[in-house]
Amino acid sequence: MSVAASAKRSSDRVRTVVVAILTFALLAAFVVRLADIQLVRAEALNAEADGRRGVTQTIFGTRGPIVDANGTVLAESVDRWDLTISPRYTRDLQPGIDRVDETLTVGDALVQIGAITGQDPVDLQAKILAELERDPDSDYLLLVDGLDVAQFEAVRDLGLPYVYLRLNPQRVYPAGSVAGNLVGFMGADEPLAGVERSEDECLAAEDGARVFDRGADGTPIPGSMTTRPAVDGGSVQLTIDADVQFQMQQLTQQYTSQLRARSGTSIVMRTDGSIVAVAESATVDPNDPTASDARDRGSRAFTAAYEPGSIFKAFSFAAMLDLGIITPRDELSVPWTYTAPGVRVRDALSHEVKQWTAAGILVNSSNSGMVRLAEPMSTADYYEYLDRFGFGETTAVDFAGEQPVPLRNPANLDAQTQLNVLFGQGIAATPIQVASAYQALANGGVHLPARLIAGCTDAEGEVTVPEVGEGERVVSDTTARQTLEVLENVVTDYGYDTFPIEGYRIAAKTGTAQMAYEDGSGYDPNRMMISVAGVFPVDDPQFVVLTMYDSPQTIRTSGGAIPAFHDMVNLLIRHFDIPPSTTEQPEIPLEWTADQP
Amino acid sequence: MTSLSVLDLHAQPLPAPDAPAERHLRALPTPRVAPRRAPRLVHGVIALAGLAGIVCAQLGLSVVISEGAYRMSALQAESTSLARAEQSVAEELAVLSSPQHVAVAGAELGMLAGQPSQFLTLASTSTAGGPDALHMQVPAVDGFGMYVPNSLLTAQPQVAASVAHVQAAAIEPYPGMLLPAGASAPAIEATAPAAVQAVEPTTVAPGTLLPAPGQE
Repeated sequence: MSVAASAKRSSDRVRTVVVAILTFALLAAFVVRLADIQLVRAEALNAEADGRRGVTQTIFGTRGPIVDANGTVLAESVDRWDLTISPRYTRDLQPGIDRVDETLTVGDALVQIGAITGQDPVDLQAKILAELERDPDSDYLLLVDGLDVAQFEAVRDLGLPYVYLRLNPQRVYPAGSVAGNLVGFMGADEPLAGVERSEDECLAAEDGARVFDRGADGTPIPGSMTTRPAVDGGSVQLTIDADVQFQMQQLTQQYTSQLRARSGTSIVMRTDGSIVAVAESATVDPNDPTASDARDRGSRAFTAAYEPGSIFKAFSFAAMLDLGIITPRDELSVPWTYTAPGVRVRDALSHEVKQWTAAGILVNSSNSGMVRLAEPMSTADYYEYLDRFGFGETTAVDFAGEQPVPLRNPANLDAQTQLNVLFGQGIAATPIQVASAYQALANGGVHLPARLIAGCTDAEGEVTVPEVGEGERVVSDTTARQTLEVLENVVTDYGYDTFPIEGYRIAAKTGTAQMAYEDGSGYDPNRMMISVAGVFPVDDPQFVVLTMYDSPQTIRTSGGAIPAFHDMVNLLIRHFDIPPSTTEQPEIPLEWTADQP
Repeated sequence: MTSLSVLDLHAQPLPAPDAPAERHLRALPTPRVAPRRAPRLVHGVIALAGLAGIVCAQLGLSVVISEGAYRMSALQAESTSLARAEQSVAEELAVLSSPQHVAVAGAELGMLAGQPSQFLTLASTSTAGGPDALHMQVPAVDGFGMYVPNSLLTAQPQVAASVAHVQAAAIEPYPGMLLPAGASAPAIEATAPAAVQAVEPTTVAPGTLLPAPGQE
């Protein structure tokens, strides 16, 4: 081995090493750069790239509809468009430059828009000029909102370059004020009342997005599109029957105006606790909620607690029957007042001492008689019954804004109130609570939770039924049946020939309740709440009906609400083809004579 | 093999000369190497043609794909437009099938509420009638408009005309009524019954039986 050869080898080795180092350095630089682009700055670069050539479109999900028990649409979402305009780019369109055959001035364009939307073109022009006056560089002005499909297509076909039509889905209520009090309505971007609000979780849609690169003419470049689909909202089905609801609203409105009452409320409930109709007057048309007074936009049936008065006697009577302290045939001499140390109870009208049975006391709605009957019953026991009847807590519907009206502690009631609660004074309840308690009497003594929502069907077709809990036995089957049989006599023997419907066994109780002043300073002598609540047919109970009118002027006793109750029961019989009762009403003596053998 | 490795081989300890293994070495016959032929023109042509074919196929494929994109875009536009048409019609249908419209349209056609069903009882071999008449039945529309309003229906020309007609009938001018300038008061005898009719719906006593809509 020569020295020269060894030197050459060493120089070869150095060269190899240098080249290797350079190569690795270059490789490392590339790797670092790659990591920097792909990992570190990936998001920012992607966003920049999308911004340069990519387009993001929002895909609007559709808010779910609200339908009645038969599928009639009560609320649905429809596509509407806002016509927006760029005031500073408004210009006359010229043939050759724009796709028009002859010059189209801004004025002509506004005349055409006005013809489509039904607006005065001069108004539109004034809006644009006012906007330009405010800001000569203004690039945005909402000219017309709520264009429907036909209007949208007509304006789009005008091809005006300074007009942009923006999708703005809106809520419509095809049945108008039918169940408007229950369905509720939407604000600008959130539900404000009713089922819209309480079932928002089911109804709300999730917007999707479509991102793509687009060619010069707007066509998506193949393979560049990524889509996140929108998820449509679920559909809420109510237990309401829109036809019955309409007829009940019509009747409630008729009787409210005939009685010149401040308001009217009617509830129809099935024996299983599902609500068929909640009619109110005045009520709200959710298409135009601002046309109604703020106090008419909700549902008084759920939100307006009042002292129910005599229709409450059915519950104290049932409680006493169930405790075994009375039977319907117990005989009593009933003067029109009842006095004990520190307390005094009077009937609505003075009368001589009557020889009424317990049934007669309930049928004639005697306050003093009820108090006499209830002497052996402790208030605590009575309140336990009221609790089981569903008073003191919101119904299972849990309507938006529903009042629970908690029951007071019976131990804290003064002696007078302890007696008043037996005939529905000194205790408050919402109309739906009263109807729901009558449901327990109709259902053989078992109180079932009130239901308004039949179910929610989501976009995939999966049905969720709201959990309402178990029913609870309030009174025995016998007690419930006996109470209804006594209440049948109210319909036949209370002295109103407008009350009964021949062939049908109907149980009902009337009430003329006093209304407290808003500030709680006692009863307002000029305000009465007249009401009738009932169950029919007694031999096979199917429906509970409650109708009530606030401060009637033409007839100020419960007799004013009786024709309304009759007509409502009548319409239900016709609508559901309910056959006449096959059994006779049992004879229950209401009076007794002392000189019986 | 380089000279370096030859040297390395020599550095290895040699196998022991007295190894028992006996090797039979013999010369293999020289492998017959095929004579190298000169490349022929046809191969080149095939290769180039294949390349061109691939390029053309690629081009054609992307043309087809982009044409498909245009077609898809057009179909999507059509589908959107059809969906809009469907929605618009469904919306109209929902308003037309609303209870208010059915009631007003029925009254306009002179329809009355049907008679309640009759029931056959097997026990007594007789029919049992349904319920009695309503105490109060007023038409869905009267002089004050619809009892159960629906603001969407006011856009319906037929219903709007029907409501306007009923309202106009309810405020038919009577002698002595203040009229807008230009309108003339009607003769007394011609309008007296109309005036009575117009007042009637608002002043009925409770429980009065009224004619069902469309009876007059």
